[in-house]
Amino acid sequence: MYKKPSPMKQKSKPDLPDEIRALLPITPAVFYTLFALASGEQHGYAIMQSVKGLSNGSIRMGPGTLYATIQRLLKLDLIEEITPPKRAQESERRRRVYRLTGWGRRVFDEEVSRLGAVLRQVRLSNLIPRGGEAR
Amino acid sequence: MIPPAVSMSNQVFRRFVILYPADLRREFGDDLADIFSQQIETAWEENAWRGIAAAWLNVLGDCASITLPYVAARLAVPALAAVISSVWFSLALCAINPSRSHKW
Repeated sequence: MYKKPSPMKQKSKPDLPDEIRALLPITPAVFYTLFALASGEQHGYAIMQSVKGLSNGSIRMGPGTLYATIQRLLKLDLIEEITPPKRAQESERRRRVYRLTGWGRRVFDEEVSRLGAVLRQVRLSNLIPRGGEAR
Repeated sequence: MIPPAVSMSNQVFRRFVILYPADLRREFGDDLADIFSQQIETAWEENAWRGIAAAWLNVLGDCASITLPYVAARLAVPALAAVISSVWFSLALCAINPSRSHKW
């Protein structure tokens, strides 16, 4: 008899390197940093502000957490530093700007799929808290 | 003009950066100070002294959350080595002079 696989048990695509796969599920700081960069390149302070906005203020990264996360993501090749455009102002050019790499996008997509699967399971189990959908 | 509370906070933070792990400081020291500077300016504009206090509390918590695990990880190996070597030394001492073993 055919048994439909549980969305919780869906495997990641096989070509994700082990060191990156080991990151999954990712921490909120890593997730929101990737989330912030998924919409385009940003410098450190902009990432910090985006994280605050995207998490409705629930994640407030300090400078140390932000740059420790950036350092880790750079080492893992999930994000990369880019040179700001020549037309940018001097203060803007001084700032380091980051963007997602292909691997970074993959990890973000994998995590979003995982969270989506978790949410589907919670819905199927009728365990959504009262008012939870509206939040 | 930059308010004194903001410029003083920036100066203090430039010294405070030394508390962050060395590799982070080396690679992102200026960026840490730059981000803090923007945070503290916004905090001053929005809530004056209360904003400054909140920004400092945030930074203290941030520094502790980054630095403490780093220090613990660095101390773990020497501490473990010290415990193992002292146990080994005690066992060796007992092997040489078994009569000492009951005096532990």
